[in-house]
Amino acid sequence: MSTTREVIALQFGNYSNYIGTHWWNIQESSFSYNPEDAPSEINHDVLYREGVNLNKQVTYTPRLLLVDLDGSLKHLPREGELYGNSVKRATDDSAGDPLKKIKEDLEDLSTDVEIVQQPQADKHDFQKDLENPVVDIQEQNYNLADNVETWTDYLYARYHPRTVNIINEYKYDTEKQTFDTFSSGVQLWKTEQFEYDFCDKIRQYVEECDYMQGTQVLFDCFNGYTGLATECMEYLNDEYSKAIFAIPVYSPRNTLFENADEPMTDSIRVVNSALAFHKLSEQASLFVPLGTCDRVWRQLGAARPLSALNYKADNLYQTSAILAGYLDTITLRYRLRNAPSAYSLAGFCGDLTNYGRKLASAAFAMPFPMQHDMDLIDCLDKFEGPLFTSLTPNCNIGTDYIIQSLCVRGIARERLKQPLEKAKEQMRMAAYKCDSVSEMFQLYLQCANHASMSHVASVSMAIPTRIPFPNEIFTDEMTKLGFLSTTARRLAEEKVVSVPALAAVQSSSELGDTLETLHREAKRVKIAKLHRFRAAGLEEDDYRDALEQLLLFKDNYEDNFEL
Amino acid sequence: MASISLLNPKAEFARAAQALAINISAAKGLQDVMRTNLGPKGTMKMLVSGAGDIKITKDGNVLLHEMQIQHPTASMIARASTAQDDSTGDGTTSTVLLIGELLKQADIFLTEGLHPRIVTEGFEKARNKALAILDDVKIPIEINKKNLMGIANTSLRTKVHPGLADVLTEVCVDAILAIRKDEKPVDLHMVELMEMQHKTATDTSLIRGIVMDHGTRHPDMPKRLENAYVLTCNVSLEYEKSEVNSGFFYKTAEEREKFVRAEREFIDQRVQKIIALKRKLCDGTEKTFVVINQKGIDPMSLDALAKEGIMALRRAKRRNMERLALACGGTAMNSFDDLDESNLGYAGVVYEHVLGENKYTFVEECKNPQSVTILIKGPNKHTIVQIKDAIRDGLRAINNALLDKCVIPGAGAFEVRAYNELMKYKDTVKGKVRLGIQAFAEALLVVPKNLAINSGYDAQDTIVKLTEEDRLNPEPIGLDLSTGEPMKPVDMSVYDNYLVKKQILNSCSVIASNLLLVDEVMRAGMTSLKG
Ligand SMILES: Nc1ncnc2c1ncn2[C@@H]1O[C@H](COP(=O)(O)OP(=O)(O)OP(=O)(O)O)[C@@H](O)[C@H]1O
Ligand SMILES: [Mg+2]
Repeated sequence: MSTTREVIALQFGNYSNYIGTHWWNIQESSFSYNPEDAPSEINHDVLYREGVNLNKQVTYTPRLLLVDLDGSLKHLPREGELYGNSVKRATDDSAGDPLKKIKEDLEDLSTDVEIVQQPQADKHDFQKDLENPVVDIQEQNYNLADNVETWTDYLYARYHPRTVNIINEYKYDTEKQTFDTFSSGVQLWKTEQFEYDFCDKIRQYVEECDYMQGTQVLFDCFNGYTGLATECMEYLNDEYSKAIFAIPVYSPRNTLFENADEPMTDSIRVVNSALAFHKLSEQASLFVPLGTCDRVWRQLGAARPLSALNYKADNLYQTSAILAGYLDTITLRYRLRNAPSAYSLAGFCGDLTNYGRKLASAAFAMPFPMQHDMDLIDCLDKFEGPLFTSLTPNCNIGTDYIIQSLCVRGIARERLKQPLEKAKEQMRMAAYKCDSVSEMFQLYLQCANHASMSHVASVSMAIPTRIPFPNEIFTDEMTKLGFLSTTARRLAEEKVVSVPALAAVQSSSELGDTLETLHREAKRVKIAKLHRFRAAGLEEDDYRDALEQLLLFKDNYEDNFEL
Repeated sequence: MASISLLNPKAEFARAAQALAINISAAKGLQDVMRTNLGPKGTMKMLVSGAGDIKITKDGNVLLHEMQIQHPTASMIARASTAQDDSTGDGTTSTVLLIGELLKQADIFLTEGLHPRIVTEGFEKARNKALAILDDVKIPIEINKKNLMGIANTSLRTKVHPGLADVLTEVCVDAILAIRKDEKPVDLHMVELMEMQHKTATDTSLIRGIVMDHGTRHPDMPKRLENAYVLTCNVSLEYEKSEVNSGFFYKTAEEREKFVRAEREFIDQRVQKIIALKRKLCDGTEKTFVVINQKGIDPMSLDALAKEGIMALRRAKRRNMERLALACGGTAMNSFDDLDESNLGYAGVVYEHVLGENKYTFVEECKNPQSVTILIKGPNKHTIVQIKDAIRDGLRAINNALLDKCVIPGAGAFEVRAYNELMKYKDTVKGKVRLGIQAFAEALLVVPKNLAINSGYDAQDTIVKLTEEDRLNPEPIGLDLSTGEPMKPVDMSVYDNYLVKKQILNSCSVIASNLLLVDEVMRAGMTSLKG
């Protein structure tokens, strides 16, 4: 009996759902439906569940709950489409109108029925084509970077009716954020919708699991979702006491809060962040902030440059795809088939959080910059500068005294080195004795990082980047398979189908600075002047306490510990 | 609004008059949307969202939640009305209608130059009088099935079709009677509502016991047991791979193994305690054993329990722990240290039912169930949701009656009686204030009028008939919706809750007065109008 160790995924907030959408899309585009294929290295059952709908059709859906505001779903019915329970309106008069049918059935039983309907929501062309078996979506050009209005536009995955949870108290608006404070998120958690219904949905997922590893919580870390998500983590700890891997995310677009100008918006984000980080230091097993901006405390900074990528700094659709690529890679460690038990969510979190260092940083290279005709051994030998780019705002890549967990993917073993007879120069390198990709990286890191410890996992499958992944972010120096080429340029109509990547989570003393700057900014905010926090129940003393705790938490990163 | 004090008095007056006009039109607008819902003959509304989500309802509160109300006045009325629902579960439609009508009636006098202050003074007097009349017409009830059926059926027939309402009435009343102690209202949390998308709405039924939305997770576990001991507990039977550190920090593989084994043994011991108790109590008898755990049970533990013929469920709802103890007896255990027979509950039968990907477990034939489950059935989600809303209202109507120990004759009877009495009362009051009382009296008729209109009868004819008949009768007179003729609500068992009516009178007069005194409200900084 193979034991699948299940993980439950939670997504709180619109930008988190942008990322999540890409992530589930990436996973599903790597599914193989061909029974002849060798089983995938990835055990998809970790995050997916099998079910049956009322028509006795088998479904395979993410073990996911997501939360967003009313108005963010556009064409997507709240219960999803797999299990019925929503109507498709008649497009012409010939076929019977399903609405009329329901109305007539009801009228048979009682009095008049009045239909009050909102105009049918627009469907993105991509969604229309998904329903059209004649169209090959890979052949189309949807221009998603310019016309996506919300994540449901490019959602390829299909969800279980449990998955989508809509907050009716606040309305979705791309121009202003209405769900504003940590405290209003805390208040919202105390409503029946969350305290009973949402928790019960979590329980239903947990009940289905034989060997649940824990939860992974992706949430918007700048608005009211901070309060909602961290309250949820507290519930998870009380009820299940399993590992919680939290990923607070920052949108690259500084959408103003309702009734707030830009400085006020910045202040609210800083306060929410400080309160969230404090709570995370208590409730999460590990938390790794993510964002493509280099700074997010006060005023959003510049876009992080990733080699061979060209993305628009504030494009939600594109930036979320990069973050999703990171997530898909870093989480491989606990999603592999037949993995040793150290490859678990608890192991992953535990390895990185000694001395109470629950905050860690993210680093990523997509593509992993490797020439298409080069061996890994030479590639690493010639590498200059850091291997990857930080994706944790206000945090630099650590080099010394670090603990890190890496995952490299998409580099085949054949690309490691030359066989003996052709090895030539390579034989002179110490790395030549390495027989696997992970071993070679281990060795490299031992040399590159002083007094550090690295866990390296390697997976042969690259990140699939087919539509609806944003292909336009790849420069033309990348080949179809995502390697670099200095000579040939990829033609415009040729798509990159997959990219090799390297993702890391690092625990380093750099994070002390991250916390210190957050603390400094948060302390400068005059909380009494932000009435909306008080109005939602935050006491000044509580805020002060949270900041003090944050400072204590920072101390965990002070001394270089002994390994 | 800070600048308002800088306006000259004339402009201020104009501004106030304008604001008042806006208030009145907003109230009317909301009234127009809601009026068709009132009463059992009100129109059912089928709301369809842009994405095709369906919601079917006749409930004022549900509609108010679904409507996107932008206008501040309208949303203030809506809030007053949903507050009404939060506290009593009923009367939202009447609240909206009555506020609108109070403003309309007041408007007639205001355009003739009457000051809003005078009107609101009249409202207050009228409200007090109306509350006294309410006390006069209330009918004390004995708490028995027949009386509760009347109030529940009246409520449910305003929400779902009559055939279904009759089924639900019995279900709701039986549920409350089953768990009621003394004459007091019950804790409605002890009535679990469980949904099953299956069959038809009229298959909804009361289970005198507990239904859970999960089942066994082991192929060899019994799916049905009779004569069962029930152990409810909150004890982990799951080997938690609780290792904090993994790869780096174990010196040797053996060290790791040892740790794992110790952990596993710890869990096994717990399982063995259950098995030992089961053997002691059940082996050689007809008795069987069921474990319902709030914590997890892993496959190895399930396997051990299955081998003993024990049925075990994991991850039960926290609230079901308490409910199970009330339904089956016994106590929910937090440890197995002193586990013995006295901790266990009993159920005549425990069985599993599978429906698509969902499993249900029924715990029935409990000796003296103090917690019950209403099993809601329906062919689709929107029917189930509609029934669930209706049942909540029905349960609350019954509970309100337990609290009040009395009911009010419905079908417009109270409003007609109050109208007649207020018109008499008005003549005893001196000065223009009486006009406010008259406006209030007229406004109350909005209820019988709309009950008539929604059944296809002429509003004026009906009011004439009803008010005349009421004057001739000591008992209050309401409208028979199937004939359009006056009738005695008591004869037809049409009852409303006392506290619902009371709250409607109170909140409507306050809100309407606030809206009328809009100029003063504005001066006060609009605080009561803002969110
Ligand atoms: N069988 C009946 N015959 C006549 N009138 C009835 C009957 N049943 C209920 N009514 C009247 O209908 C009114 C209640 O209608 P309804 O429940 O639709 O509105 P509501 O209680 O004001 O608001 P809500 O939508 O919150 O329930 C009461 O005045 C009640 O007396
Ligand atoms: Mg009602």
